[in-house]
Amino acid sequence: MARNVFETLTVLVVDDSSHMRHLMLGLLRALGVGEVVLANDGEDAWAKYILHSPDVVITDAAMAPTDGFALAKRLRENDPASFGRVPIIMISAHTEVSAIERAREVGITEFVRKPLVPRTLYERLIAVVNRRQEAAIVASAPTSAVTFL
Amino acid sequence: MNPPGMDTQDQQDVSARFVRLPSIAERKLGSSYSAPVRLDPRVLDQMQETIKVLSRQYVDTLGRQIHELLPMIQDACNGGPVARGKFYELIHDMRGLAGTFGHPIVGKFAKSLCSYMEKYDFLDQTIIRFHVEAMRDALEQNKPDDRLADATLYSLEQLIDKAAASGLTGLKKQA
Repeated sequence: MARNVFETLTVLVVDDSSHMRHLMLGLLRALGVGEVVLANDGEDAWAKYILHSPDVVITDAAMAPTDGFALAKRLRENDPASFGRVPIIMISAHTEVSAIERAREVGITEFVRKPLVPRTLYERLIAVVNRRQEAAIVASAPTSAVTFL
Repeated sequence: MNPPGMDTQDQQDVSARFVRLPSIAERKLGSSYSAPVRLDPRVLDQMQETIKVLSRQYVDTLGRQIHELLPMIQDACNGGPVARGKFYELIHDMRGLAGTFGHPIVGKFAKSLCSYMEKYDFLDQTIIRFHVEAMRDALEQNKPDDRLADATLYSLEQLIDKAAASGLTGLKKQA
Protein backbone atom coordinates (compact mmCIF):
# COMPACT_ATOMS: atom_id res chain seq x y z
CA MET A 1 0.00 0.00 0.00
CA ALA A 2 1.30 3.47 -0.89
CA ARG A 3 2.65 5.41 2.04
CA ASN A 4 0.89 8.59 3.12
CA VAL A 5 3.33 11.40 2.39
CA PHE A 6 2.02 13.39 5.34
CA GLU A 7 3.44 10.74 7.70
CA THR A 8 6.91 11.76 6.62
CA LEU A 9 6.39 15.47 7.31
CA THR A 10 7.37 17.76 10.12
CA VAL A 11 5.10 20.80 10.10
CA LEU A 12 5.72 23.93 12.16
CA VAL A 13 2.50 25.73 13.12
CA VAL A 14 2.79 29.34 14.28
CA ASP A 15 -0.21 31.08 15.83
CA ASP A 16 -0.71 33.30 18.86
CA SER A 17 -4.17 31.87 19.50
CA SER A 18 -4.13 28.69 21.55
CA HIS A 19 -7.50 27.73 20.02
CA MET A 20 -6.02 27.93 16.55
CA ARG A 21 -2.87 26.02 17.53
CA HIS A 22 -4.95 23.21 18.99
CA LEU A 23 -7.18 23.18 15.95
CA MET A 24 -4.21 22.95 13.58
CA LEU A 25 -2.70 20.18 15.69
CA GLY A 26 -5.96 18.22 15.49
CA LEU A 27 -6.41 18.79 11.75
CA LEU A 28 -2.84 17.90 10.88
CA ARG A 29 -2.97 14.78 13.05
CA ALA A 30 -6.18 13.77 11.29
CA LEU A 31 -4.31 14.10 7.99
CA GLY A 32 -1.61 11.84 9.40
CA VAL A 33 1.20 14.39 9.64
CA GLY A 34 4.18 12.74 11.33
CA GLU A 35 5.30 15.56 13.57
CA VAL A 36 3.57 18.83 14.42
CA VAL A 37 5.61 21.49 16.20
CA LEU A 38 3.69 24.40 17.75
CA ALA A 39 4.97 27.96 18.24
CA ASN A 40 3.10 30.96 19.60
CA ASP A 41 4.84 33.79 17.73
CA GLY A 42 7.55 34.54 15.20
CA GLU A 43 10.39 34.46 17.72
CA ASP A 44 9.33 31.15 19.20
CA ALA A 45 8.88 29.85 15.66
CA TRP A 46 12.40 30.81 14.65
CA ALA A 47 13.90 28.92 17.60
CA LYS A 48 11.79 25.85 16.79
CA TYR A 49 12.57 26.12 13.09
CA ILE A 50 16.29 25.87 13.85
CA LEU A 51 15.71 22.94 16.20
CA HIS A 52 13.29 20.86 14.10
CA SER A 53 14.03 21.82 10.45
CA PRO A 54 10.38 21.46 9.43
CA ASP A 55 9.35 20.53 5.90
CA VAL A 56 6.49 23.04 5.89
CA VAL A 57 5.69 26.14 7.96
CA ILE A 58 2.08 27.20 8.53
CA THR A 59 1.82 30.66 10.06
CA ASP A 60 -0.75 33.20 11.16
CA ALA A 61 -0.19 36.73 9.86
CA ALA A 62 -0.93 39.01 12.83
CA MET A 63 1.16 38.16 15.88
CA ALA A 64 3.24 40.14 18.34
CA PRO A 65 6.11 40.86 18.69
CA THR A 66 7.19 39.12 15.45
CA ASP A 67 4.39 38.66 12.94
CA GLY A 68 4.04 36.12 10.16
CA PHE A 69 5.45 38.46 7.51
CA ALA A 70 8.63 39.15 9.49
CA LEU A 71 9.00 35.44 10.18
CA ALA A 72 8.63 34.60 6.49
CA LYS A 73 11.23 37.23 5.57
CA ARG A 74 13.65 35.75 8.09
CA LEU A 75 13.02 32.22 6.84
CA ARG A 76 13.57 33.29 3.24
CA GLU A 77 16.88 34.90 4.12
CA ASN A 78 17.97 31.55 5.50
CA ASP A 79 16.60 29.15 2.91
CA PRO A 80 18.86 26.11 2.58
CA ALA A 81 20.34 26.13 -0.94
CA SER A 82 20.46 22.36 -1.25
CA PHE A 83 16.78 21.50 -0.83
CA GLY A 84 14.98 24.58 -2.05
CA ARG A 85 12.69 26.93 -0.22
CA VAL A 86 10.72 25.77 2.77
CA PRO A 87 7.06 26.19 1.79
CA ILE A 88 5.27 28.74 3.97
CA ILE A 89 1.49 28.68 4.16
CA MET A 90 0.00 31.83 5.65
CA ILE A 91 -3.46 31.65 7.22
CA SER A 92 -5.01 35.05 7.76
CA ALA A 93 -8.25 36.94 8.20
CA HIS A 94 -6.61 39.82 6.33
CA THR A 95 -7.63 39.21 2.75
CA GLU A 96 -7.13 42.69 1.33
CA VAL A 97 -5.03 42.95 -1.81
CA SER A 98 -2.33 44.79 0.17
CA ALA A 99 -1.96 41.87 2.59
CA ILE A 100 -1.72 39.36 -0.25
CA GLU A 101 0.82 41.51 -2.07
CA ARG A 102 2.87 41.81 1.10
CA ALA A 103 2.70 38.05 1.55
CA ARG A 104 3.99 37.59 -1.98
CA GLU A 105 6.81 40.07 -1.42
CA VAL A 106 8.12 38.24 1.63
CA GLY A 107 7.97 34.87 -0.11
CA ILE A 108 4.81 33.23 1.21
CA THR A 109 4.08 30.11 -0.85
CA GLU A 110 0.34 29.83 -0.25
CA PHE A 111 -2.19 32.21 1.30
CA VAL A 112 -5.26 30.74 3.01
CA ARG A 113 -8.07 32.92 4.24
CA LYS A 114 -9.88 32.52 7.54
CA PRO A 115 -12.34 31.07 8.35
CA LEU A 116 -10.28 27.95 7.81
CA VAL A 117 -11.93 25.10 5.92
CA PRO A 118 -10.39 21.60 6.38
CA ARG A 119 -10.49 20.74 2.69
CA THR A 120 -8.63 23.95 1.82
CA LEU A 121 -5.92 23.12 4.35
CA TYR A 122 -5.51 19.68 2.77
CA GLU A 123 -5.41 21.09 -0.77
CA ARG A 124 -2.76 23.70 0.06
CA LEU A 125 -0.66 21.24 2.01
CA ILE A 126 -0.70 18.57 -0.68
CA ALA A 127 0.06 21.26 -3.29
CA VAL A 128 3.23 22.47 -1.56
CA VAL A 129 4.36 18.93 -0.81
CA ASN A 130 3.99 17.87 -4.45
CA ARG A 131 5.32 21.03 -6.07
CA ARG A 132 8.70 20.93 -7.74
CA GLN A 133 10.77 24.08 -7.52
CA GLU A 134 12.90 25.55 -10.20
CA ALA A 135 16.19 27.15 -9.33
CA ALA A 136 18.71 29.13 -11.35
CA ILE A 137 22.31 28.38 -10.51
CA VAL A 138 24.62 31.17 -11.62
CA ALA A 139 27.76 29.54 -12.97
CA SER A 140 30.14 32.39 -12.21
CA ALA A 141 29.03 32.71 -8.62
CA PRO A 142 29.72 30.52 -5.60
CA THR A 143 27.39 27.55 -5.14
CA SER A 144 25.35 29.43 -2.58
CA ALA A 145 24.15 31.82 -5.28
CA VAL A 146 21.01 29.92 -6.08
CA THR A 147 17.87 31.79 -6.99
CA PHE A 148 14.58 29.95 -6.56
CA LEU A 149 12.10 30.81 -9.28
CA MET B 1 31.62 53.85 -23.87
CA ASN B 2 28.69 52.24 -22.14
CA PRO B 3 25.18 53.08 -23.21
CA PRO B 4 23.33 55.23 -20.65
CA GLY B 5 22.09 53.23 -17.67
CA MET B 6 24.48 50.33 -18.21
CA ASP B 7 27.69 50.00 -16.27
CA THR B 8 30.55 47.57 -16.78
CA GLN B 9 28.99 45.01 -14.49
CA ASP B 10 25.84 44.86 -16.64
CA GLN B 11 27.93 43.89 -19.64
CA GLN B 12 29.50 40.90 -17.89
CA ASP B 13 28.45 37.54 -19.31
CA VAL B 14 26.49 35.58 -16.76
CA SER B 15 25.59 32.02 -17.52
CA ALA B 16 23.01 30.28 -15.46
CA ARG B 17 21.80 26.72 -15.27
CA PHE B 18 18.17 26.05 -14.54
CA VAL B 19 17.46 23.00 -12.46
CA ARG B 20 14.27 21.41 -11.27
CA LEU B 21 14.44 20.30 -7.66
CA PRO B 22 12.46 17.24 -6.56
CA SER B 23 9.28 17.93 -4.61
CA ILE B 24 9.19 17.31 -0.87
CA ALA B 25 7.13 14.16 -1.52
CA GLU B 26 9.69 12.85 -4.03
CA ARG B 27 12.53 13.58 -1.63
CA LYS B 28 10.78 11.66 1.12
CA LEU B 29 9.27 8.75 -0.80
CA GLY B 30 11.23 8.52 -4.04
CA SER B 31 10.47 9.50 -7.60
CA SER B 32 7.88 6.74 -8.03
CA TYR B 33 5.61 8.49 -5.54
CA SER B 34 2.22 9.46 -6.90
CA ALA B 35 0.07 12.06 -5.21
CA PRO B 36 -3.32 11.05 -3.81
CA VAL B 37 -6.18 11.91 -6.13
CA ARG B 38 -8.53 13.14 -3.43
CA LEU B 39 -8.96 13.61 0.28
CA ASP B 40 -10.22 10.43 1.94
CA PRO B 41 -13.79 11.21 3.16
CA ARG B 42 -13.05 9.44 6.45
CA VAL B 43 -10.15 11.82 7.07
CA LEU B 44 -12.38 14.78 6.21
CA ASP B 45 -14.97 13.52 8.72
CA GLN B 46 -12.28 13.27 11.36
CA MET B 47 -11.17 16.84 10.61
CA GLN B 48 -14.76 18.09 10.90
CA GLU B 49 -15.11 16.24 14.19
CA THR B 50 -11.94 17.93 15.48
CA ILE B 51 -13.47 21.33 14.70
CA LYS B 52 -16.73 20.35 16.38
CA VAL B 53 -15.00 19.26 19.59
CA LEU B 54 -12.82 22.37 19.80
CA SER B 55 -15.78 24.63 18.96
CA ARG B 56 -17.38 23.66 22.27
CA GLN B 57 -14.35 25.06 24.07
CA TYR B 58 -14.10 28.12 21.86
CA VAL B 59 -17.70 29.21 22.38
CA ASP B 60 -16.93 30.02 26.05
CA THR B 61 -13.94 32.13 25.04
CA LEU B 62 -15.99 33.92 22.39
CA GLY B 63 -18.80 34.70 24.85
CA ARG B 64 -16.30 36.03 27.37
CA GLN B 65 -14.55 38.19 24.76
CA ILE B 66 -17.83 39.73 23.57
CA HIS B 67 -18.78 40.42 27.18
CA GLU B 68 -15.40 42.14 27.70
CA LEU B 69 -15.92 44.36 24.66
CA LEU B 70 -18.98 46.28 25.84
CA PRO B 71 -17.28 48.17 28.71
CA MET B 72 -14.25 48.84 26.48
CA ILE B 73 -16.18 50.75 23.80
CA GLN B 74 -15.89 54.22 25.32
CA ASP B 75 -12.11 53.96 25.76
CA ALA B 76 -11.71 52.46 22.30
CA CYS B 77 -13.36 55.57 20.87
CA ASN B 78 -11.84 58.25 23.09
CA GLY B 79 -9.04 56.69 25.12
CA GLY B 80 -6.09 56.81 22.77
CA PRO B 81 -4.24 54.29 20.61
CA VAL B 82 -3.51 51.70 23.31
CA ALA B 83 -7.17 51.23 24.25
CA ARG B 84 -8.15 51.29 20.60
CA GLY B 85 -5.46 48.74 19.74
CA LYS B 86 -6.54 46.40 22.53
CA PHE B 87 -10.15 46.58 21.36
CA TYR B 88 -9.15 45.99 17.73
CA GLU B 89 -7.01 43.02 18.71
CA LEU B 90 -9.98 41.28 20.33
CA ILE B 91 -12.24 41.98 17.36
CA HIS B 92 -9.58 40.81 14.93
CA ASP B 93 -9.18 37.59 16.88
CA MET B 94 -12.92 36.95 16.59
CA ARG B 95 -12.90 37.84 12.91
CA GLY B 96 -10.45 35.03 12.25
CA LEU B 97 -11.66 32.39 14.68
CA ALA B 98 -15.44 32.71 15.00
CA GLY B 99 -16.12 31.50 11.46
CA THR B 100 -13.63 28.65 11.71
CA PHE B 101 -15.31 27.41 14.89
CA GLY B 102 -18.86 27.45 13.57
CA HIS B 103 -20.00 31.02 14.22
CA PRO B 104 -19.76 32.62 10.77
CA ILE B 105 -22.27 35.37 11.54
CA VAL B 106 -20.28 36.56 14.56
CA GLY B 107 -17.24 36.48 12.26
CA LYS B 108 -19.06 38.64 9.69
CA PHE B 109 -19.93 41.32 12.27
CA ALA B 110 -16.37 41.23 13.58
CA LYS B 111 -15.06 41.67 10.04
CA SER B 112 -17.34 44.65 9.48
CA LEU B 113 -16.19 46.23 12.73
CA CYS B 114 -12.51 45.59 11.89
CA SER B 115 -12.98 47.27 8.50
CA TYR B 116 -14.66 50.26 10.17
CA MET B 117 -11.80 50.65 12.66
CA GLU B 118 -9.19 50.24 9.91
CA LYS B 119 -10.81 52.84 7.70
CA TYR B 120 -11.72 55.66 10.05
CA ASP B 121 -9.83 57.83 12.51
CA PHE B 122 -12.76 58.91 14.64
CA LEU B 123 -14.96 56.15 15.94
CA ASP B 124 -18.63 56.44 16.73
CA GLN B 125 -19.62 54.65 19.96
CA THR B 126 -23.11 53.84 18.69
CA ILE B 127 -21.80 52.12 15.56
CA ILE B 128 -19.40 50.05 17.61
CA ARG B 129 -21.98 49.17 20.25
CA PHE B 130 -24.47 48.05 17.57
CA HIS B 131 -21.80 45.75 16.10
CA VAL B 132 -20.93 44.23 19.47
CA GLU B 133 -24.58 43.73 20.40
CA ALA B 134 -25.21 42.08 17.04
CA MET B 135 -22.31 39.70 17.75
CA ARG B 136 -23.69 38.94 21.20
CA ASP B 137 -27.19 38.28 19.82
CA ALA B 138 -25.85 36.05 17.06
CA LEU B 139 -23.92 34.00 19.59
CA GLU B 140 -26.85 33.70 21.98
CA GLN B 141 -29.22 32.50 19.26
CA ASN B 142 -28.68 28.83 18.63
CA LYS B 143 -29.23 29.14 14.89
CA PRO B 144 -29.03 32.81 13.92
CA ASP B 145 -30.96 33.81 10.82
CA ASP B 146 -28.59 34.48 7.89
CA ARG B 147 -30.98 36.90 6.18
CA LEU B 148 -31.52 38.87 9.37
CA ALA B 149 -27.75 39.02 9.88
CA ASP B 150 -27.21 40.29 6.33
CA ALA B 151 -29.95 42.92 6.80
CA THR B 152 -28.33 44.02 10.07
CA LEU B 153 -24.93 44.22 8.39
CA TYR B 154 -26.43 46.30 5.61
CA SER B 155 -27.98 48.68 8.17
CA LEU B 156 -24.65 49.00 9.95
CA GLU B 157 -22.94 49.87 6.67
CA GLN B 158 -25.59 52.51 6.03
CA LEU B 159 -25.01 53.91 9.50
CA ILE B 160 -21.26 54.10 8.85
CA ASP B 161 -21.82 55.82 5.51
CA LYS B 162 -24.16 58.36 7.14
CA ALA B 163 -21.66 59.08 9.90
CA ALA B 164 -18.93 59.54 7.30
CA ALA B 165 -21.12 61.84 5.20
CA SER B 166 -21.99 64.01 8.17
CA GLY B 167 -18.32 64.42 9.07
CA LEU B 168 -18.57 62.52 12.36
CA THR B 169 -15.76 60.29 11.31
CA GLY B 170 -12.51 60.90 9.43
CA LEU B 171 -10.95 58.68 6.81
CA LYS B 172 -7.62 57.33 7.94
CA LYS B 173 -4.58 58.65 6.17
CA GLN B 174 -2.96 55.99 4.03
CA ALA B 175 0.54 55.02 5.20
